[in-house]
Amino acid sequence: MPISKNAMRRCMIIDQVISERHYYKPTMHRIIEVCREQGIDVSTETIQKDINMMKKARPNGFGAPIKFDFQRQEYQYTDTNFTINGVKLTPEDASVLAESLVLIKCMLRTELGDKLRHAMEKVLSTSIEEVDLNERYPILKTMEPPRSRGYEFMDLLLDCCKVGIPISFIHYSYKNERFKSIVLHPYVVREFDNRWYVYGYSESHDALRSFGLDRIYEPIKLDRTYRKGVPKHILSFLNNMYGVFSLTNEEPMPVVLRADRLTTKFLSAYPIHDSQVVEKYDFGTSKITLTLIPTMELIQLVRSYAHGLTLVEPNWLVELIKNTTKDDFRR
Amino acid sequence: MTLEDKTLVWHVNAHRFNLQLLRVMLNERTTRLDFGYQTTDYYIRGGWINIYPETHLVTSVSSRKIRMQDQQGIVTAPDKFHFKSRADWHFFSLFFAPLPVQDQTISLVESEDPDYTNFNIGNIELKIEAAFRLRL
Repeated sequence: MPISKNAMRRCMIIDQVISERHYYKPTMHRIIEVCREQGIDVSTETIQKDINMMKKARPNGFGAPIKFDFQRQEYQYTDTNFTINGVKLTPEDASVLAESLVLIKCMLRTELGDKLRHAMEKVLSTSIEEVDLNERYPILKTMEPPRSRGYEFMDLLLDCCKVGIPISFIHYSYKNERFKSIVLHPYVVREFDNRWYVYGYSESHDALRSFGLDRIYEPIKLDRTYRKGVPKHILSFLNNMYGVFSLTNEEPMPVVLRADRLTTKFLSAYPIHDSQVVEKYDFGTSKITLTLIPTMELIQLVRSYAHGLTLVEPNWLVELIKNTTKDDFRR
Repeated sequence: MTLEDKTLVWHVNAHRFNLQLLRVMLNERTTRLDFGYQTTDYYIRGGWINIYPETHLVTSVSSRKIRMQDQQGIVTAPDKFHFKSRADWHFFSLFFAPLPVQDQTISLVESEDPDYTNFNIGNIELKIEAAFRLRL
């Protein structure tokens, strides 16, 4: 049975009082006094019950070697190094960990993430009282989209990327409305705009490709020689693109945009890419230069600003947009 | 040749209208066929699909009919899986008794007397040499 929030707080105080024996005599009176200082009105009987509970082995207690020394009339640990704080965390440490947990819950919703979260919660459970989620709200909140289709393959894909195992899966193309069997040598799993993609060498296309996890069916590991990726290509995919679906296999190139006053403000605050350079004009409009590999997602972004953002260069990309419909750039 | 613990995997692209046979997997316990189905404009809201319980495989190396044992993602007749639009798609798998482990051509037979709606797909070539091996 889990230890209640209040009992946990009292146990922490008892542990603190016994551990601080060099400063104050760890008596029942002292424990009750510290409890009252911390706003906990408690009786001798309750503290006695808490001490008995602390003596119990985990998980019902803490296995605390507490002994009452009748001669000195004080409590002590027979093992002077014992503390229920297995890891000594300051309140600040605990606070940082608690906030990190929120991020982990949001960003690593995989088996690996669950293990990490459990491990951190264990650490926290020895340092702070049980968190009552019904009474608390997070002070740090990231966007938490509902779990998407295909997320269940995350652990398998991460394992295949890490160990180097080719996979076979069925892919459904939303655009072409066709299924296709794919053999992929996966290199990385990447998130973009709350969507997850696996990137690698596709034997079926004889090229490097990204596949949305939501469009993958029944991935299986293959007993087949793994084709290792070229780090330069993988890093380029990770760093030189806004999005995952490139429109060219070339090296990063300058992409010039023209932004109106309002869009300039937003894009100055939230740059599109690390390479972004904003050259402001007198009236607050700007020329924005990015150095990257053009992608479908970049086109979608430009279109999302309507007249606020216009593509100026390269010419081939301007022409491409002119000659295609809006749906051609849907992922 | 024996399969031992190996599962053979073939990528195929056989189709009948808007039904695609995409992958065949074979081990000593089962033969699995993976399918994709795309609805069309022909039916209102995409229509429905199901599979006859008497569906079987026919192989070029045996006169024996290899009966369907199980299915995943599709219901057997008379039940129906109804689509909701003309743009829906569906992935499903059918499981049969194990095929002989040798080069062969197989056919999926849903009906011996098929009409255009039946899931009958013929001449699926399975060569041992062309198969991938599943990693356990």
